Amino acid sequence: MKNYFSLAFASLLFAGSAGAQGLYYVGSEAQESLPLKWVVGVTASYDDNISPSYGNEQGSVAINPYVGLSFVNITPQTTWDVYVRLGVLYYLDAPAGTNDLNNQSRAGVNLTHRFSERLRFSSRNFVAYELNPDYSYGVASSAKVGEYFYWQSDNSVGFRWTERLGTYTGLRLAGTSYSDLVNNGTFTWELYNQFRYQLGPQTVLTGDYRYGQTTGDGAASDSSDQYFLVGVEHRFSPNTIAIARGGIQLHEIDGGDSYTSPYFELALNSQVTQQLSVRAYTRYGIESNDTYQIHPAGPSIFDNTQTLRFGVSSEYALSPMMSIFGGVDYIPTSYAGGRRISDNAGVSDLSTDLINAYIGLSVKFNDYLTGTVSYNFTESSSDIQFQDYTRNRISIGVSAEF
Amino acid sequence: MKKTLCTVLLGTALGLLPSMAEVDCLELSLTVKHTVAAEQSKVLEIVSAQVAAAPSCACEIVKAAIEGSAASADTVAAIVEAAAVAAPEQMRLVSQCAVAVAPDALAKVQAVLAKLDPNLGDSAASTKSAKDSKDAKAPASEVAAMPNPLDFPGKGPIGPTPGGPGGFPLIPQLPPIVIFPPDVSNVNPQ
Repeated sequence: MKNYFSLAFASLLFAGSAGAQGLYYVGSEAQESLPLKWVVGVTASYDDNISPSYGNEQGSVAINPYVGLSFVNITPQTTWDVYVRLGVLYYLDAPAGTNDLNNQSRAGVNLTHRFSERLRFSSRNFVAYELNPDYSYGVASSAKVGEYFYWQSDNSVGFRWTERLGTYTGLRLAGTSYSDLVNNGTFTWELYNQFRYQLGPQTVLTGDYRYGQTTGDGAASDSSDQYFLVGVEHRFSPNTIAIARGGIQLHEIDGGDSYTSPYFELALNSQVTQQLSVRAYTRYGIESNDTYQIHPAGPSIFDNTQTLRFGVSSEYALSPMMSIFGGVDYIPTSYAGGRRISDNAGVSDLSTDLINAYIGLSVKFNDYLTGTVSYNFTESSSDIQFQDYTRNRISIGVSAEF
Repeated sequence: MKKTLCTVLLGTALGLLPSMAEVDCLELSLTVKHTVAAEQSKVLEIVSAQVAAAPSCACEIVKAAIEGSAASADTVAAIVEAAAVAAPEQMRLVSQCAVAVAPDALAKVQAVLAKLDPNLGDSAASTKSAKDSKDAKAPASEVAAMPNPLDFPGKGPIGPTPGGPGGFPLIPQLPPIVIFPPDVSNVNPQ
């Protein structure tokens, strides 16, 4: 795993490109109001492996129409941040046994209400029902068969105890389920408390304690997790901000073994120049998702799934009307503590390395119309059945904003 | 008028407390907030009197006044101007505090700063400016120097982009919005 650390930090240092969401989160809220904006668009794409974890490779042309809206409203006391995108992904040549029509939709509502200088309430809510996972959300570590449903609700109360010391205390609920798979769904609740000490105008030190329980679907294990973390939120300059947290994770399987693991998470957001922006994230720890895998000895559950997630994304504006964007997600996962479902016999460890890279060009034709062309490459190297594959996707789309 | 006079006198009396004892800026800000809410038309007088009496609490006073009066962008700018005139050494600080609670008023606040002191530059915080500020004239009160620990530290054009979890747009904003960072200002020009 040391190699993972080295690679992640080296990549962080030398990153030059990238683009996406969730783990990129740098811990704050929208900064300015945006009026209600509607978006309607359609994307046509060619996918050379539409069911990468199921049988032989088969390509297909796909159409993805969508409609979306977003708005941000900020008053001195309350911030609303709402976005919805509803779409479908229709494969024109879907092979037998594969759905030709799939959801590709997401929505989110974020609210912060400041009762006073001392007291505030924060709620961040997100739901996705889609076929192709966004790896930067920190949930999927490989493509699955069929659509997945993921939701999360994170609600906390912030209180400023003294001039420099504050706390956020909250409850996070999250769930995943797969329409075509068993033993993959999870439900997690997690209580947490974060101490925040304002070290200086540009720096907040943090100390986190989190306790959560996860209920696994079917044969998947139930487990509990505790995190003891210290960290820092820092603004290096007006244009560069970062958070870093690290510590220990205790992962305990109900009626089973306990595991201790280092845990860390990093996020970086920088406007390097007027044209170039870069974002990056890293997270490492034991995860409770994707614990069900097809081992050569038979379907198995792995209770010690250590996952490193690293991502970097970038956008570069060639001109006010044209930009290029690109990014990489790298997710190596080791599956240990495995047991065969049929007889609970121990099985050997497995591993998967997933790389997801993309690059694209977008052109703003006028105030309303934008065109985008992109290429996405995914490679999964694994000793798990059906998890060793490559995938190429080429997309061209147009969208209208109003 | 009588009520207003009483309000201002009360506020001034409260503001004089620091000369007798260490003032509690949070308590003072609550008083200002309630007072301004009751007398919105006198918000500038109240701010001016309070900041002059307790410049070390200028940040909290300005924020309380903005919140208490549910100030528009123009009013925010006027509040900043009143505070800056009352305590010129706190000009930069109050502008940052004002923008912290009323980010929509950024442009108007910058205009006020440009008007009052063209050499001051932009009000955005930076490592350099924060350091300079600390070296030059450290605010007398910790509360004035320290932002709210519940917020992400510092101010600047880079922050979470609204529109998605993690602050990134679910609906792609392409081409990307090009941010023109403000010049780093020297708060202690020679």
